[in-house]
Amino acid sequence: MTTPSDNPAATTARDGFGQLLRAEWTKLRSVRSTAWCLILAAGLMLLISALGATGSTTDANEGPSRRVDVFHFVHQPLTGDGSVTAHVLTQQRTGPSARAGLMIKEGTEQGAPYVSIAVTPDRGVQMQANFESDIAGTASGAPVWLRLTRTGTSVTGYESADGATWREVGSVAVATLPPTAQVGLFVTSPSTALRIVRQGGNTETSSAFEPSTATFDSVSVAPMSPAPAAAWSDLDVGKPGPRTDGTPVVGSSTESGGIFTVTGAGDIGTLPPGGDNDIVRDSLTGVLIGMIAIVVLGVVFMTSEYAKGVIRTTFTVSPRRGRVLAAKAVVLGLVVFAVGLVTALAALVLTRPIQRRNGFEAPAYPDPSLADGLVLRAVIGTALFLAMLALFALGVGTILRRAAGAITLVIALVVVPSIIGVFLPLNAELWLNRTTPLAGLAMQQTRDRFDNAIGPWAGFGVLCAWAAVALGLAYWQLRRRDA
Amino acid sequence: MGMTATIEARGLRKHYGRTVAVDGLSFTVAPGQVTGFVGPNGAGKSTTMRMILGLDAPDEGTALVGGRQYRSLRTPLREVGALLDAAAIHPGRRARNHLLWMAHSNGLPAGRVDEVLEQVGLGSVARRRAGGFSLGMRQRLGIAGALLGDPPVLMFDEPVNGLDPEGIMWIRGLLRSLAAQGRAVFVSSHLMSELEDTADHLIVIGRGRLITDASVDKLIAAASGDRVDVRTSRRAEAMTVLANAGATVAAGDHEILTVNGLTGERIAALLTERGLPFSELRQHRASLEEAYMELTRDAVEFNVTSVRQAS
Ligand SMILES: Nc1ncnc2c1ncn2[C@@H]1O[C@H](COP(=O)(O)OP(=O)(O)O)[C@@H](O)[C@H]1O
Ligand SMILES: [Mg+2]
Repeated sequence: MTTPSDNPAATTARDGFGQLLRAEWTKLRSVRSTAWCLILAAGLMLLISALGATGSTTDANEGPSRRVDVFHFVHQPLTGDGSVTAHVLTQQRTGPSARAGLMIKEGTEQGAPYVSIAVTPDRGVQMQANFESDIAGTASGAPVWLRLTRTGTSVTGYESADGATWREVGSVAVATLPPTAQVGLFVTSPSTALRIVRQGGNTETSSAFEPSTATFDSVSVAPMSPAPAAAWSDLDVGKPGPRTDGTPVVGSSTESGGIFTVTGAGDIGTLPPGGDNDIVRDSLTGVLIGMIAIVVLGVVFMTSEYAKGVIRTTFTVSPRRGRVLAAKAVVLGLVVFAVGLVTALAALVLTRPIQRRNGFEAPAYPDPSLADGLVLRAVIGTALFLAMLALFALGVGTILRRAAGAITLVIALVVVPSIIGVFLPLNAELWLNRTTPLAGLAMQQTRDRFDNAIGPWAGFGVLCAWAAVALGLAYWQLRRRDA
Repeated sequence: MGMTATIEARGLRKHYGRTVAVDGLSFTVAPGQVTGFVGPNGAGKSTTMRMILGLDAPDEGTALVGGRQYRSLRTPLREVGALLDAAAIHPGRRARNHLLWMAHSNGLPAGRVDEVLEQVGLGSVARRRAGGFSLGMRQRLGIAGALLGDPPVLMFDEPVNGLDPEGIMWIRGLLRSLAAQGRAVFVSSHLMSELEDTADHLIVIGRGRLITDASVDKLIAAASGDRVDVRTSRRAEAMTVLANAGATVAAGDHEILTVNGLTGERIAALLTERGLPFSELRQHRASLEEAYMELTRDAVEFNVTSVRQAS
């Protein structure tokens, strides 16, 4: 007769979290639904991303010149060498890069060569010539004295705090500057908002402008060779876009007692190539559908144990229930993360040729590279999103114990907002994308866009909070309830 | 292990809504024998077992396994093997994997899985999905899980349910051999007959309360009482004689009389005195089923303490 104390298992039995992880991993891999869910998730992700890429085209590389030259100009001719000086008293902050300052320009038509020096609310004094070559000054903002001096084809910019001591900011040669150029004050204010027109599921966006007003005094034009004082005229160079509500923006200027009040909007310079499509996010868009299978996987990982009563076996062999939930979460999270990462990379590789064929190519849309931190974050973020979503689903599955109810609830919270969002007013859509678990998708953003609801890590934080609340509640219920 | 390899219930009470499933239940399961846990359906057997395993929290009382609360066990498979519900298997999982995750969770080697599969006779279907298993095969798989950690305490809830006669024979043999190895074997059934020839000790409950807690021998003796069976060809005359002597006499099958209230010697003397022939005279031995019927029929009348004192 053998006695139980001869127990052959006794010497080798261990009790560690690693054992629980092994147990849960064995459970997960040994049922077919796991493989099905993962294959379905990956397949849908790739398919939908490819379809999305196929249906989206651009002419970003064929569009007109990317130079912009839009501002309000108060000017008079200056023949030969000379200088223009002004004291910028105040500047309205409509954005960080609104500009108020001085300009010498070949003429008043858009695109004519120029040299300018201006103050900005947040970026100090900037000297700029011919849509490029920014030279930074040292002054931080209005009030400030500015001066441009022409000597032949060379123009030098100065800044001064008091109008007495001047500091040279820089000197630029403009070969084509004619003998008589237009000099004077200018004000402009780049777009910081979008005008969005939503009809049905169709969204059109364009830049919206808010004009900035600046005041100047001590304005003087000093030709080297004496000339009769010329009169000031003013105009909008180019035509700024409308305000967010669609009303047109018109620049203006008035002079009273030597104080010039100038209002204008627009921008001067060369915009970087490209539209504002987030092609990395577009490549990963299939996750919106693929995630449904991941939700099912996360829910069923727990509810399948309740369906047949396996949960009682689980808690009989592992009475510490919180650790079981933790082990499930770790195993599920790692598996989904791994599959999500591979699939996200595959989606990027798969959709890129389709995007290129549809016009999304360099220079406007250069190939994304994993060496680019934003792209890497989008790829890893997609996997993190799926993993965290699976944990949220696991938590809900544990609380509700029934697959049907839990899947319905999670889908209602995650998938439904992603579908109905585009039919809502933008603000409502953004609100949904900020507060529902869908916020985690912000990890896929690689560009600043009007429809970015929330920052990448903040969005992921929102999803983590959902998962944490669900798992916390699940943990509490597991310990409290009978199995 | 050793002396502490037992199950102890102390004042267990559990209610679900308005149903009191278990009501102040106390008992001890001793090692080295099969303890039957008997009561009609709904008596509270499964609930008691769930409380012992820490699955359901008792309203009152405690249950200890080997002197400890189940939930404090770190590798419970080594301490207690339990089969609660043979249907509690993921139908899509292969039999071997079902045992493998259990083994992993308690750090048991995978080799144990193959051993217990052979032991319960499922070696050849180890890699089949449990969804296709018959009830008998599921019972065997559940028992394999209970045996995984080679524990000193085993608990089976209605393991005979739905088994064919061959399976019943197998389980009986297994229970006996496990007890013979010195383990405490606690097995429930709603049919006393299922435990005939298997259980050494019985804990009988009804409506969540203890009805009796006694060895099988004592129970049968109590149910048998001081009755004597007599076989005689002249039953009518014999009945009159014995009744006149103060006995209660009942006519049984054929030529049998069951006599209550007189010893065997006295009956023999009376019948011989009157010249009535009798071919057989023996102490009546009740079946376990009879004992059970008697217990549950007048559960209130039955004096639990008298049985206990007798034992
Ligand atoms: N989880 C539960 N929820 C509600 N009632 C239950 C639950 N488990 C058992 N019961 C009730 O408790 C009583 C005892 O049930 P049970 O322990 O299953 O009895 P047995 O196993 O002896 O047939 C029954 O009336 C049953 O309906
Ligand atoms: Mg039962």
